[in-house]
Amino acid sequence: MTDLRGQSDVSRDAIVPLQVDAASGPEEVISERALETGSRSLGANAWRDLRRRPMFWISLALIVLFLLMAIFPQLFTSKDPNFADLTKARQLPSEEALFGYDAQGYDLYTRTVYGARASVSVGILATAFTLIFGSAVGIIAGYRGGWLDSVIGRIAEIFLAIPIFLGGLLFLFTFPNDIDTPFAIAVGKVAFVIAILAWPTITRLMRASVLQVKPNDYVQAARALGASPWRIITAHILPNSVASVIVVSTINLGVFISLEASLSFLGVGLQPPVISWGNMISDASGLGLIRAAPHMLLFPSLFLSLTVLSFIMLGDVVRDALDPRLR
Amino acid sequence: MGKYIVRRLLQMIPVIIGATFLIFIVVFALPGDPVQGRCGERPCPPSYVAAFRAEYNLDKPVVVQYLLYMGNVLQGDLGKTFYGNSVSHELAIRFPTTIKLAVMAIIVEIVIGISAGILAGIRRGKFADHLVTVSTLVLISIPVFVIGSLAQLIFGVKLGWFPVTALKGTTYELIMPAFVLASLSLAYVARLMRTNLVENLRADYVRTAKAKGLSNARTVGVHTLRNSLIPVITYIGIDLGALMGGAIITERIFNINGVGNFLYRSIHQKDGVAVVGTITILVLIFLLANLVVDILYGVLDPRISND
Repeated sequence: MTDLRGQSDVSRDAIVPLQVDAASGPEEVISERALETGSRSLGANAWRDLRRRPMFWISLALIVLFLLMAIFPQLFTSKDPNFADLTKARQLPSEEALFGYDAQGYDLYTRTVYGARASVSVGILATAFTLIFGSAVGIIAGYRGGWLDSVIGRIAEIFLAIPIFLGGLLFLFTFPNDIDTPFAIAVGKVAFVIAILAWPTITRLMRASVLQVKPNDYVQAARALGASPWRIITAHILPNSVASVIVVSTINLGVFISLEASLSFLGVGLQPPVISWGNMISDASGLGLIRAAPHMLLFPSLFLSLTVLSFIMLGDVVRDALDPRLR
Repeated sequence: MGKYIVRRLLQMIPVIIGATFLIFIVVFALPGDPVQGRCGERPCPPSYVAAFRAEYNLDKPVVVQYLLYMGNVLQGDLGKTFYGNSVSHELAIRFPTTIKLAVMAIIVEIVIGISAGILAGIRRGKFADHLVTVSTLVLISIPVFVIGSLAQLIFGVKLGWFPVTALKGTTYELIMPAFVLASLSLAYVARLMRTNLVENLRADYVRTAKAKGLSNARTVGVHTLRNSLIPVITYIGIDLGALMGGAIITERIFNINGVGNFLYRSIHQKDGVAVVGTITILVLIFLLANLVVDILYGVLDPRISND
C-alpha cells in the first residue's frame, strides 16, 4: 500500500511543474487537473525519464537512420546495387568502395544499404499484423469472456506450440520464394508466416490487461451510464493496456528482423534477386570466403545487428521508464 | 498435486493434436505441391504421383489422411527419405550428437547466465549491473548465425583455438558450437535472473530475515536465490523451442552431423517427407519438455498447483 501511495505522489510532483509551464493557473486547479489526468501522468513521468536517457536517443537516431535507408537508399549511395564487376570480386575495402566488393564483384556498401528495405519491411509488416490482429483478438477474449475466451485460448495455445523458427521453415518450404517472386510477395510471405505464429503473445498480453482493467469502478460506472462496449474499450481499456503492448511490439520488431535474416540465411526466407542482409551473410559464410573475404561477412552483420539492437534497446528503455519498480 | 498433473496432461492432448494437424495440413493439404522437387528439375510422371498419393493416402479426406499419418508416427514410422531410408532411422542416428550439443549449450547457459544475473542483481545500479545489462542487450541483438560465423572466423580461422568444423561431434569439437548456441538464451537467462533477484530482494521475507540478524550471505544465498531460480529453470525448459531453431543454424555453420543439419539438407533437397517428419518430432519434443517444465513448476512452487 505504501508503495502505491509513494508512486502517485511522485507522479503528481512530476505533472505539476509541467502544468505550471503550460497553463500557469492557480495551484488548486492544477492539482485537480493532475488528478483528472492521472492515467496520463505515468506517461508524462515516463517521458521525463526517457528524455534523460542517452540510450533512448541513440536507439531513436539509429531507427530513423535505418528507416531512411529502407525508404530512400539513393540518399546514401549513388551506385546501382545490381551492377557487378567480376574483375573486382572479393577486393578489400578501399577508397573507391567503402566496404569492398563481394564474391560477384558487387559493391558491398551499396548492397548493404539496399538490404535495409527487405529487413525493415518484414519487421514492420509482421509487427503491424500481430499488433492489430493480436490485440483485437485479445480484447474480444478478455472483454467477452466465457466460451469465446476458452476457444481463443485453446487456439492460441496450439499456435504457441509451434516454435516460430520451425514453423517458418515448414511454411516457407511448402510455399517457397524463387527468382520470379516479386519483392512485395516475397516480403509479404515471410512477414505473414512470422505474424501467424507470433500473434498469440500479443493476444495473451492484451487479454491479461483487459481482465485487469475491467473490474475497475470507472469501467463499471461507464457501463451503468449506458456506454457501448466499443466506447468502453476505446475510452477506458485501450489507453490502460496499450503501453505494454507497444513495448513488446517494439522489441518484437527487432526479433522479427533477426528471424527473417535467419530464415534467409538457411535459404528459405527471401531469395535473390531480393537483396537482404540474411542472404548476403549466407553468401559470405562459406569457409573459403570467410578466410579470403571476411569483410563480406562483417559489414552486413554489423548493419543487421545494429538494426535489431536499436529496436530492442528502444523497447527496453521505454519499458524501464514505464515500470517504476525496475528503477 | 496429482490432480494438477492429470489436468496438465489432459490439457496437453488437444494442443498436441492441433499442432501436429496444423503441420500436416500446411504441407500435405494446402494447395502446395507435395511431390515438388521429388523428380529433380522436371515434373513428376503421373505414375509416380499416383503411387506417392496412394502411399500417403492423399486421395482420402484430410482428417483420415491425418489420422493415418499420426497412427504411423506413433508407431515410429515417419515415412522414407529420397534415398529410401526410413526417416526415423536417420533421426535416431543423429539425435545423440544434437542432444550432446544441446546439453552442453544448456550447461553454458546455466553457469554463465545465472552467475552474470546474480552478479548484476546483487550489485544493482553499480558498474557490474550496467555491464551485464548492456552486454546482454548486445548479445540478444546479434543473430545466432552472425555469432556463429564470427566465432568461426575469429576463434577457428584467425586464432586457431578450436576446430572450424565439428564433423565427428567430439566434445572438444562441440565446445565452440555450444557457446554459439547458448549465446542468445544465455542473455535472456541472465536478464531474467537479475529481474527476479531484484524483485525478491525487496520482498518482506528478506526484510524479516535481515531484521532477525541473518548474515547477508545467508539472506541472499539461501532465501532469495532459491526463489529467484524457479522461473529461470522453467524458462530454460520453455526456451527449448528457440534452442532447436538455433541448433539448425549452428549445425549448418559448423557442419555437425545432427538432426538440425539433416533438416537443413532435407529442405534443400526438397524432401518433404523428411522435413515434415523431423519438424513433427521436434514439436512433440518441445511440447513434452513444456509439460515436464509445467509439472516441475508445480513441484517447485506449491502456489501454482494449489488450486
